[in-house]
Amino acid sequence: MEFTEYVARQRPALMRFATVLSCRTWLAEELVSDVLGRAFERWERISEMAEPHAYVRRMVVNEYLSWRRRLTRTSPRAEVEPMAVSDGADERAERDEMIHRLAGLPRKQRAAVVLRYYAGLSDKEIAVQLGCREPTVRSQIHRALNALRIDLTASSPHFQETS
Amino acid sequence: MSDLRTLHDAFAELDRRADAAAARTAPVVRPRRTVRLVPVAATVVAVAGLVAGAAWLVPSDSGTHTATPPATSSTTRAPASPDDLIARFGAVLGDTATFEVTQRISVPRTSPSRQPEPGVTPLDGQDGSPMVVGTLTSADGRGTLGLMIYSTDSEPGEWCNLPRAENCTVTTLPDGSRLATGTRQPAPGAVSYLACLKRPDGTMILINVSNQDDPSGAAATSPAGRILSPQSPLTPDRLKEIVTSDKW
Repeated sequence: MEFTEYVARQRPALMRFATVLSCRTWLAEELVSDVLGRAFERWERISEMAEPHAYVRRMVVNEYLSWRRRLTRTSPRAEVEPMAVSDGADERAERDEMIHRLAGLPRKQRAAVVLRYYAGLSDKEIAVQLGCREPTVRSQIHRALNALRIDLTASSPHFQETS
Repeated sequence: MSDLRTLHDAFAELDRRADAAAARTAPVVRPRRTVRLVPVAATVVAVAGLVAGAAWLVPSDSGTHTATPPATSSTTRAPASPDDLIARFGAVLGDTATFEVTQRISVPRTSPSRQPEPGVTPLDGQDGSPMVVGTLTSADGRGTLGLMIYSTDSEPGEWCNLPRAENCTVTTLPDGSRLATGTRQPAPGAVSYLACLKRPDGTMILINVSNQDDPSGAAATSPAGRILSPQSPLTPDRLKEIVTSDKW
């Protein structure tokens, strides 16, 4: 697949993934634009991989994990996207609170929980993406779920990355 | 305590914010400012932002056009810009539907190693392949449509190899063009059609249309999976007519 086709096909999915990962739409735009710029440079090699999208998504994760360096180079911006004002519905308030807690997670914990419950990756796949061992992945996810105050014994719907 | 459903709701809300941001901003691709990239920077930097709300409308009922696209005649030269593409699509579509453009994108056409020699700026003034996305309304229904035209060495059948492709077939037309068509049902009540035509001159015309917010279709739980009408605004046969039109 040519780069043009890849961008046309996958940029929306990358934007969603980066937004979930960073909880900041402006940062997601920065991450995805920069990553696609670098992918463009190396596209002939990337396109020959078995799973180019997985590789580019990993680039997004790596870029996100180093985003503090980016912030030092750019103008100060709000740390967290303004939360939508609750309309009083319990579900919406709970959702917004969940976004707030997500935004407060340490970066690797958030990356691990997003890769598991948003991208649907296995421990092994997440370990590859984050460059760590599987027990570390499990530990990161466990801590993240505790911080998010998620009870795994409650209902567990199917999760699927949107694309 | 919360459950995983709440986490999923949070992801969906962030998805929605991402889609909203994508509709109002930004460079699609930003090259690093390295010395090596300088020769091709002129090509890549020119990637257009996504322009929300810039729309022209082709009413299906009254025949009175709002911001009518310029008339075009048959030509073999592919549209060079999103505006060109919109105008060409208007000519192909005629007055059978209303198309409201929500995104205009110009995507880099080739990888750096395929660019002209370092330091040489392409002279044809075409900085990328044009792509447009918008809302399409016809007598059949309402949905979204994504359209891109580009020159390529690849085959339309590659679109059939994607994991999302279902019921996808490739045929060769009498003029030698290759046509890939596919349908998929990404969610109950949702339908998405693909048509991708490669003409003998190497020009590829790619269209995705669906009755959801995402022209390629999306999971029902995604914000982009919202169903806009019971049927797609284009049938597979009508989509085939459009990509094979001689008005491009």
